[in-house]
Amino acid sequence: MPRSSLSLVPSPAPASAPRAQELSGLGDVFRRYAPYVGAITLRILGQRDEVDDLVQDVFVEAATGLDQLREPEAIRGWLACVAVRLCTRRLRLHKFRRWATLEQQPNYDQLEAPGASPEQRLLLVQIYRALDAAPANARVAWVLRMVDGEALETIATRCRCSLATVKRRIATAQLLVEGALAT
Amino acid sequence: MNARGTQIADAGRHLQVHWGPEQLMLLESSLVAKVARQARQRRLAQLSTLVVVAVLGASTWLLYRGAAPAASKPNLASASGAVAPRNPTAFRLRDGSKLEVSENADWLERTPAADPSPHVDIEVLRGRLRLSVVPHQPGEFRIHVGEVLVEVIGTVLTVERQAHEVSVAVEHGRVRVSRGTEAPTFLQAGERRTFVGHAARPALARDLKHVASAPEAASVPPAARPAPTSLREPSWQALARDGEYAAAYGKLHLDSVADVPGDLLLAADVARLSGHPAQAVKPLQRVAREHSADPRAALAAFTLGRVYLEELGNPRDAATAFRLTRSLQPGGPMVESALAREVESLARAGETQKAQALAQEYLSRFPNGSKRKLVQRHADAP
Repeated sequence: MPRSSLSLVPSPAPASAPRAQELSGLGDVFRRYAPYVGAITLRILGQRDEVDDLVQDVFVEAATGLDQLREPEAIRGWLACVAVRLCTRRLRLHKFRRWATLEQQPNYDQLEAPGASPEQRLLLVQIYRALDAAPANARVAWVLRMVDGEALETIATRCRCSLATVKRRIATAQLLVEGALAT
Repeated sequence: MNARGTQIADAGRHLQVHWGPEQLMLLESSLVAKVARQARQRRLAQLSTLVVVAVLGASTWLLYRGAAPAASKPNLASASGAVAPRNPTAFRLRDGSKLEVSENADWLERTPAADPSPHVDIEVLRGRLRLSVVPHQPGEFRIHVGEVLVEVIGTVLTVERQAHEVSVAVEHGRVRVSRGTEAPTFLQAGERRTFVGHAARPALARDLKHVASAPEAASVPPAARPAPTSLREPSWQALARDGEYAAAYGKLHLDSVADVPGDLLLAADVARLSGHPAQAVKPLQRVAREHSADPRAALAAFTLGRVYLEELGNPRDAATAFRLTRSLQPGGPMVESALAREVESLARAGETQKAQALAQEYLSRFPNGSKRKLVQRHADAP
């Protein structure tokens, strides 16, 4: 799918990159980037319940590696990478728990999408139900591309895989979503 | 598919997380606690690994020594009354105690070799020493590390002197540690204490001159390593802001904390995050009750509830604190969390009916609330 065919969602992250002296500690980084990490997490998981917990986990991991970042401008991308990794792990865990009948199918009826019309809400519910059947990696790549509007190269960086793998994963999830929307 | 892609992107734009300032503050406070907890766990894991390695090493050494008693004994030098050579590994003092000295460590025994008294005075100039001290009467075996004085009866301990801190760790037995005019403390096996910002005792320079008459002393002139004489010690607030909660707690006198919400909340954080949750109660209560007009009063009440519920196992008082949170900010963003926590507290306190009624209130006020699953359980409870 060509990138120009999509109306991409603007990133909620700040427009200008922070300077080193602006981010003196974890608290500053958290206050600045928590909404951005929260948005990524919510869009990948589709459920609000776990967002707070997962966002904290992202920043706990960030706390151990923050000092090693040479470029303060890289914080945003790095946090996104951590968020993607933790979300993928969480999706796999849920999938395993559902397989082991320890957990029920998630209910997307209460999607946190204030301002969405009933039709948009229905569309999102159908999409997330379809994505539940997709492999976690494919779901993440698809959401980053179609919902978050990221470039393929950025997705490859976030998911730490090749461009070809990203395309393959998006195609896998796309088939499932198209199937669900066609019925 | 182009149109469909646009539809998806438009719909996805509405998927946003909305946190109010207080919620963000709560998340941040909880994050800081989580990071501190993980750091503690990491240190504990490192310590455990160290202990396991030490035990394995000691076992191996004992086995090896048992197999070849004469050849494998360490070369222990007698060091009485002299500055230690540069890179020794082990020494035996005249009373039979053993010293293991790290590389680049300097020390001296201040008691002259001819002194018939049982007193032993060791001065650590820099670096780390591990001492296996044979049994002594109280006050007979003393270790001076800058301003810090360690009195040993019979034990195994490690002392380390760095540029701005002195640490004492006890492996076996018990030692008495004091610094200047501070009240002495006792360290038991497995305990460790670090003194930050120590200064050299003025008397030490005189003593060093006296000892320097020994031939070996020329290689380590005392004047070459002057210890800092006046180090400004950081305040508990500065330590707390640097995340050094344990050190900050050591300097914190809760009764003398200024009666301003900022300091009281910081003091509560120091107490909580250094593992003294009970000490956090008083400052939090003061903010919540005596500074109820302050916008942080509700946060203090909420934190108080969490301390009672999660750390002190007191759900009844936790419920009261969460109720106070709601009354302090009736329409505030913390109401939902406080209400859910109050339900949980009441349920844990055995107040099932009250918990059930409050759970119904939560579900009717916040049908899409983030804690609805948890609260629903209490609402459905038989």
